[in-house]
Amino acid sequence: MKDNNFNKLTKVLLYTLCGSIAAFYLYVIYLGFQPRVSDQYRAYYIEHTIPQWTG
Amino acid sequence: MDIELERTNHKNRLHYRTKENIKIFAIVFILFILSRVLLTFAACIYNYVHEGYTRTWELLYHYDALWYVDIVDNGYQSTPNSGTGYANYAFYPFYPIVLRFLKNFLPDRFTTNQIGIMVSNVCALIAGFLGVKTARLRFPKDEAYFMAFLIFFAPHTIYFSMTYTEAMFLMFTIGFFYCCGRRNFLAASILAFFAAFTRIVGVFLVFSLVLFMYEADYGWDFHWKNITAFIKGIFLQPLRLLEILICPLGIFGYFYYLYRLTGDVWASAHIQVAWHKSYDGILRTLFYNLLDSGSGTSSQYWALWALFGLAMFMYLCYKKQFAAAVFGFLAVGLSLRTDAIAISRYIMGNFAVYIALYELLRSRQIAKTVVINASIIITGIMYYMWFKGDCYFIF
Repeated sequence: MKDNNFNKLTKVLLYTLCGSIAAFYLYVIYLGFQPRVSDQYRAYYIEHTIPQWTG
Repeated sequence: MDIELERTNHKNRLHYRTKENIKIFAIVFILFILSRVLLTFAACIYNYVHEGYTRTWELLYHYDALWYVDIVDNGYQSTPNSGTGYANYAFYPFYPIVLRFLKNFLPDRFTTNQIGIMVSNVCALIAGFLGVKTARLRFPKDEAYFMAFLIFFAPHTIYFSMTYTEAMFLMFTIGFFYCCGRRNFLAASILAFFAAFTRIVGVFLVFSLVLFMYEADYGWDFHWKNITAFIKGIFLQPLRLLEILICPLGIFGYFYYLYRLTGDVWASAHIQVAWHKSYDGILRTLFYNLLDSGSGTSSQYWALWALFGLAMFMYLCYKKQFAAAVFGFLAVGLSLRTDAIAISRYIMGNFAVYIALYELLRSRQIAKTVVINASIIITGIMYYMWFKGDCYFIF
């Protein structure tokens, strides 16, 4: 009984860790769609609408 | 009595394995030293011809080495340089972190560049040792020292002796393939974590890990029933799920750090536009580099190296080494999507190529002899040209 509980506990901890890591990845990907940058940065590095960095 | 016998057998096996490992390390060390004799020989010739007395570590200090030293000494910058648009956050952090950590303990007489050279050479030595061990897993009857020779002497392995990330990355990827060969997937995933933290293409090891796991359960039998059972098994086995999720953790940590620093999660990818325009596709990159020669003959050199690398990865598929082939295709493919610049360095920094070369040449004695002799000559010449500091094509 004790071993089964331990194994169950270990599984719960591992799943919690996996869930936390996956949540972190999703959060970072979400932040990737919300850049907080200057207009010049966005124009040159992200949208490539200007030919040269003027910063 | 049986327990005693088992204990004795276990002790004997351990003793034999330790002796064997010491023997492998000793021979690999000799090969490593000979490769660095070649480096210093080229440096001596360079100083003789130019009537100078530049120290070896200064001769090695060019191009990206300056960026890594800058990161170690000054940290990452939050805005790109005005004018050029370059930024040092294009370079991934684990190697600079290690240098910075060691700098705290080493005497001040050691410059950052010297520490970088020491770390790279130690990583190269470990990579050579692990390379031999990995080759012996697949070919137990081989001595496999040719694998170490390739790592120390093949063209473009000059980067393993200087302040570049290639040696550390190679060490982690070889360690990954070794652990996968031993079916130790937890250790393999941790090594993949560090490989990705050192160079972004290390993140593709997660696909190799999944393939190795599949092969361990089902061989290369890709029935739909097996695939669905395998995917279901990943979610039902939390340790296996964790092993897969760990691989990109370091790199996502770096992306989050870049968001806090610059406001852009993908800053390390976006900054590449400052260095070169993108051809937006592998075939376009190969076409324009082979036939258009944007950078002169260097472009054709890189494009031909790219074709060589792709041919090696196809050979790995033929030999059913799918995990290595996938890593090769993805890692090199990512670079070729934008340009072929420095592709020769990326290819020779990818362990999949060494697996292919070893398998191709191991029983072809004449070809092996030609490769050995040509490698020594070409690498010696490459060192000499590198010391000059303006030889673009070996970049």
